[in-house]
Amino acid sequence: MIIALCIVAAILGKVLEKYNKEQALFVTIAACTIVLTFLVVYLSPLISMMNELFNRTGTGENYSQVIIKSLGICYVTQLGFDVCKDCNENALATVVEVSGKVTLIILAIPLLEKLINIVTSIM
Amino acid sequence: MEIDLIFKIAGVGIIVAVLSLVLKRAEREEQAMMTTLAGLIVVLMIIIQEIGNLFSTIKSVFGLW
Repeated sequence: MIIALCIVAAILGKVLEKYNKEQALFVTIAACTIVLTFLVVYLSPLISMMNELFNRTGTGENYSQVIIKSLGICYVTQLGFDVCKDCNENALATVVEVSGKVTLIILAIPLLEKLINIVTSIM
Repeated sequence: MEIDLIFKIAGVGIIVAVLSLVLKRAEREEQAMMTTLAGLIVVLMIIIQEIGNLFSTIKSVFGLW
């Protein structure tokens, strides 16, 4: 179903390309957002199950929270990167990519701190 | 999976394109440009609503902020 939708959107985009470029871009962007919303909704039971599994391991810390957040950030950054590349705006695309990486690093700093504390306490 | 949304957007795009061509033939250049802009804005409104919906779903599922 998703593949059919993407093929139709690509072809419609090509049809519109001849008349004016912007409408063609809009069709592809709309198709991307529709499929991604469907996938996120499709994915949510998996995430709650992952959460439950992580809690069962009894580590106490919410490491699963960080993992799932980084998954979401990558998800959105990839979408923004590819949409900007579609519009031939490579500069904007790299800006989106870098901002995604920065947010990921900021998310991971507490983990790093804990790791270093553990390592120093061992030595 | 609203495939009709894509057809709606493509339809608006095609109609606007044909309309502007017709208006160009009838030497009404500025009106052609106006209809193209109007079509653009209509499609933009639909897409912004769709993107807003996407981001709110992502926010709720991944618990981002």
